[in-house]
Amino acid sequence: MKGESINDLKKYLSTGRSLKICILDNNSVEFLTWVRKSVSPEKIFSQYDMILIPKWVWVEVCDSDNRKSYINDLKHCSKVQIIDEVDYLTLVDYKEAELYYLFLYCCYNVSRLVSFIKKNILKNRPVEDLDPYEEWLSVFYEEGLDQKKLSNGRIQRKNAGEISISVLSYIFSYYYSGSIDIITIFSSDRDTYEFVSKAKEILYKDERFKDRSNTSITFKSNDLLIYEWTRLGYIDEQNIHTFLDSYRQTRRIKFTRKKQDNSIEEQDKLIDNAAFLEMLKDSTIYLIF
Amino acid sequence: MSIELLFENRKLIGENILNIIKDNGYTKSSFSRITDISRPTLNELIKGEVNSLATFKTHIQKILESQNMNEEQLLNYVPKSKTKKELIFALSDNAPENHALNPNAQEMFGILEDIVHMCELYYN
Repeated sequence: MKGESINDLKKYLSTGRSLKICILDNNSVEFLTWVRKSVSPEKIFSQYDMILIPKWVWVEVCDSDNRKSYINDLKHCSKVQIIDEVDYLTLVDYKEAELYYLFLYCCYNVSRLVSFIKKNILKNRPVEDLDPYEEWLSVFYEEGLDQKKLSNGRIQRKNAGEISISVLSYIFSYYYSGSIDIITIFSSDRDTYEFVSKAKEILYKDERFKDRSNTSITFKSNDLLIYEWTRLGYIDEQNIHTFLDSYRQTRRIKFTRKKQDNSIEEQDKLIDNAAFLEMLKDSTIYLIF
Repeated sequence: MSIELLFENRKLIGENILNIIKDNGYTKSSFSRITDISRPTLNELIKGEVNSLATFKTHIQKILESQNMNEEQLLNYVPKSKTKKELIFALSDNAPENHALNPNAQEMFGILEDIVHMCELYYN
């Protein structure tokens, strides 16, 4: 998105309506292409006012024709927009120092990236003396992120998608909280969850952000989607075994469960398909990630 | 209030512009973009080194418009760092070394210490 369209998006986000927004990660798009015949995109996405994909994620999506065509078809269910990271500055009303902190905090789980940002972007200067955003964003992407050449010749940047999704979700959370009720990230990537969680911890303590109103950021992992689909009857009991065998592997799940005395236990553990099947029958369970 | 008065106080105005940039999460670069003032000119404004009244007036008008402020607000701008509530916790025990407090005083100081500790824990 460039020029006028980013301003159109800003206008749309400032209408004061209770918008429901979802941000897609590449791994979820891949999963959704597998299950497309069982659960249609309409059933999943028609509740959202807007589906957003950061450009760094879109580049990964485009490595597969299936994923790309899935996203193109989503245009029939909801408003779909690819957002260029360069446009994040417009979305934050040119509050570039704040945008710098959002990037920094969303990278906090990777100490190498934090060091890179401080050494090569901040360069020991006060934050108000930063180089223009487009310049330091390019330095961060080209030089800060680890690179790997893929078989199709594309250079993959490690964690680019996760960081971009995290920053974008916090932009919506803090700058458009009056218009947005729901910000849900569709991702099963633990890194994305951890990046968002770590940033939240720091933002809640940071003087610049801590007293501001913000919209919560929630997740829909593949497991949470399966849990939801069984509840809604999109996958019936007879087929659930086959469905899990085909599309699910053992994975660490973060969830809560109500105990007999109504207290809530928090769990974060590896769940194989047999245990997951049992979880699907338990109505006292809430999956977090 | 006249721009001339701001021009006479241009060193202070420069400091205030820098504080507005910091307080609102801008950088000099992004502020220069939203006000349409070039970076070198913005630097001169911040340092209070613009010596032409006409140039000063043109650029100050751009800043006032972009920040929705008037001349008086710019002149009297109070940075957030000065308005912030600073809570200082202090507890001193000036008793001479080896001095034994009587049990009542010891109990009272114990309670006071607990209160101060709780404030430290929960204030933020």
